[in-house]
Amino acid sequence: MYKTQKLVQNTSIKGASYLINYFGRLMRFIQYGRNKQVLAKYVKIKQVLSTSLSENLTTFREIMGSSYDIKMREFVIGNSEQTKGAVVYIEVLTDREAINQNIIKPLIYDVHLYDLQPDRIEMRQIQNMIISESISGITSDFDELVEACLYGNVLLLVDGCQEAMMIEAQGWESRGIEQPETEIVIRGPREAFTEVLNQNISLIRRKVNNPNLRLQIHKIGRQTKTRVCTVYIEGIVNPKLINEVNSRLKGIDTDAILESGYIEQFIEDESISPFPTISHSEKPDIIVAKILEGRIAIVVDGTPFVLALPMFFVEVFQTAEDYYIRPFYATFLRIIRVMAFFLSTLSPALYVALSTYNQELIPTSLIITMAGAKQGTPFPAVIDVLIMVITFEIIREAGVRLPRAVGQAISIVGALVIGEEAVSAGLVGAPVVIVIAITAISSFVIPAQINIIILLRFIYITLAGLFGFFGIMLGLVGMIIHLAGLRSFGIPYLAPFAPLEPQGLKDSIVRLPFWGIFFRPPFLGKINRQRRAPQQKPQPDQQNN
Amino acid sequence: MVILVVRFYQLLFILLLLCTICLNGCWNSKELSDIALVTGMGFDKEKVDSQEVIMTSQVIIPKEHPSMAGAAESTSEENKPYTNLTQKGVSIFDAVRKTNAFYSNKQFWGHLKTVIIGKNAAKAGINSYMDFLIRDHELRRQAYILISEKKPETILGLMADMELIPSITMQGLVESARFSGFASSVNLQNFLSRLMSESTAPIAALVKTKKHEANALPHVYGTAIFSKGKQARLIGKLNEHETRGFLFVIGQVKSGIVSFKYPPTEEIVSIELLSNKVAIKPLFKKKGPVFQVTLKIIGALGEQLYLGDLTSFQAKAKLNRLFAQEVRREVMKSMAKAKKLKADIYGFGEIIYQKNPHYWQKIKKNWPEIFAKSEFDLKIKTRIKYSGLIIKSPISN
Repeated sequence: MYKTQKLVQNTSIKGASYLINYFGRLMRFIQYGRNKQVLAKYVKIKQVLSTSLSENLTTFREIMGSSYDIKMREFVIGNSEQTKGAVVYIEVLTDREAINQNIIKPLIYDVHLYDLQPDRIEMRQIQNMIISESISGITSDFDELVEACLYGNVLLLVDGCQEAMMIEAQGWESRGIEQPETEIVIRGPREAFTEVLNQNISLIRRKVNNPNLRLQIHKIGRQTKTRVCTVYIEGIVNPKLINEVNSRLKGIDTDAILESGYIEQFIEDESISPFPTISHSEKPDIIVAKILEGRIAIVVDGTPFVLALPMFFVEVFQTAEDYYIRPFYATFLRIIRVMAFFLSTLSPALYVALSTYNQELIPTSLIITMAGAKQGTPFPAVIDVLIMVITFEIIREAGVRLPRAVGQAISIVGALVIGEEAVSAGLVGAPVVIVIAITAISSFVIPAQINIIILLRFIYITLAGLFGFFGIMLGLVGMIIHLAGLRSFGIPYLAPFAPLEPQGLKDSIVRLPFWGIFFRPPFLGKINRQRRAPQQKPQPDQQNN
Repeated sequence: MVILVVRFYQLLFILLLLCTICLNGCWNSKELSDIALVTGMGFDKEKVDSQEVIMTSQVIIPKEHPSMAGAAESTSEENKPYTNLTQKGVSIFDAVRKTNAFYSNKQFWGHLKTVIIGKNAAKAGINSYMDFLIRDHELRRQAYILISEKKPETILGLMADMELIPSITMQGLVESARFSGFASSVNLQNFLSRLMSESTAPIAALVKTKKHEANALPHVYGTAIFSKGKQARLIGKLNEHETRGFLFVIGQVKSGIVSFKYPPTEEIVSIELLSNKVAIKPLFKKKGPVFQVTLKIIGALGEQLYLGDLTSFQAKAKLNRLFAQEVRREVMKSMAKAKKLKADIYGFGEIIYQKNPHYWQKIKKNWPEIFAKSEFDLKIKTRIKYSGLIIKSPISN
């Protein structure tokens, strides 16, 4: 008797510790694995170039394999037939016209014009006199040369020289600058980033004509060596922040970076959270505005979505257009967005709590209608709401992924399923449909952050179904505690509200006219907080009165 | 083997933990389709001294409500949007639960609008039956209390035209009584606070049936006065004008029409009441307390059947005098009735307690007698503020 009791007691304590242990093991399973990754090393035959051209070309051939687009063209420099040269390039990444006109042609025809001796030619001389394309360097390191070649540089090798020249003659097909797909504005610039890093940088540069705009390039990804560029303005951004971002970027050890989302997940502060702590945009005006506030942008080659960090939670409710239209309407729109955020996350949960726990809070005439609609439906209110929410999410996801032509069919089916048939088939009551409609429409007000809303919505529906209003309050308190604990690169996520920063409130939910906001957002741009001269409110000239 | 047992207990422990999360919340949840909305209740006794209480609860049938699509356009006896469940029991709760034998849904009291108490129950004393209305957690104290000569189930079956559910009709009638001042509107909260007070007598509105064409319609009027003491018993009534006199003193006349004869031609003039302010000051004399009641009443000339000019200075003064006289008559009538019943419906005892608690301790034992003998010094200040869109009757010469 005694023994069994003791066993139960012990196991309950042990059980708790094992529960924690299981969790720990789960986390370890998620985080750590055995480091088996094999480097995609090319066969390192030699570290540096030799003096023999043919030997060097053989080495290149061995490193790069026999891919059809790798071109190695040998030619004779000048007409002496004494010195041989070669260009090595990847055909699909380079501009053939430029190679022919500006590299090969001058080397063959123009060498004699310069009083060069073809038998004792040197790289410096070629760089200074012959090649008119821009040159990114001269080196004898194989690693560097191969990398340059893979980014679209043309390598020029000369027989007898132990160095090679990297000539920038990139050229490839890319799409032009188009309108943004996700962030649509009525008033404001219509250009969006593209997939090409340099094009994106040029879009940023064009808006900030300032020598202090700094770009730092990182090459991340063992296999892809993707170019990732941090952009900031020296003198505004906090230098500690630059160091922090650089060190986090350097810490990334992965095989590939295919989108900025990869970077985001590696460097964000809180990964296990539905809330993003790094914002992203495909509009250059937004990114430039964030850079000017003292943030750092991260442009990743191959994606039109540029990251900006650190991020505040208020930014969820802000759009670029808020700053282009007049402040009253902008403030109104931000309040609408906050309302939509809460409506969209909470309204199904509120419906569940009201209709199953606190019926006395519903006005009598409404509850009569609601009770009438509920009569004859088979499931409890939580299940009703869950069915409809999940159905809606399925329809929405189908609509997003489908080709345009089929998309219309989805909307017709969706309208029928959700709007009409679910009610007339007696599956759910009409009020549920209205609640879901409000929820769905509200969630489209903040399209960029729709993922937070959907996750929270399911949490709140479950809590409301289990505990009613108590559960919803529990969830809200939990959410606020979680938000207050979040940091984005050391900066409180809920600023300027918590901690309270009165100057920051001027551009939070409320937006004052520009002459009223003369400081940068809190915690950003610490070394240079003031962004405008104060007292710029337009008013009649005092002296002329 | 031992390890297996330990593992089993661990698993059990984790499962139990999960159960605490999943199982505890739903205990209080009620689906809308499983509850019966009670909007009105009534209770009475067969005779004044009978033990059992006859309990009627009015339950809404949402499907038949015209706000639902598919409900019948016109409501007849067959498809009424409500049903009255009547059952005898030794207590109210007992009777309520007995109805579940023939009505499956559990009654939900959160939307109770009216409580109708029959004459017999009111005469027998209603303190004991109030217990259920206070104790039950679903009930809210906004329900109006009405005393009925007829059986409560009769009143709860009267169909008025605008609203199809009688108990909600009754709620509207009590609320609209404030436009005439002819009925006191007392909800459960007011009733309970009077019931719990040391001196103030509980009151409630009265309801009766009135023939209108072929139908009988509910008619809310006057005030029912209950005795103080262990059981609050119905001891008397105030008619419409006495009720308004009473409401003037407690400052609750929000609106109403005061009509009186204008002397030279004895034609009627009606004044619309706009505001009513009261100041009550008790004076503690040797022979007993004297109450200085000062009424400040503002009215507007609403209608005159008299064809002369009433806006001249002299006419206005006369009009004010007559207006004050009419108000005084109503107030004095109500006071005479209250004194006769020895029921302090005005809350004068509370005022004494607040002003002079020591004095109250001395007199509280025989307060009803003292109240019946105490003097009232009534001052009425009237003012007629507007005369509408015209100054004098356009057809007058």
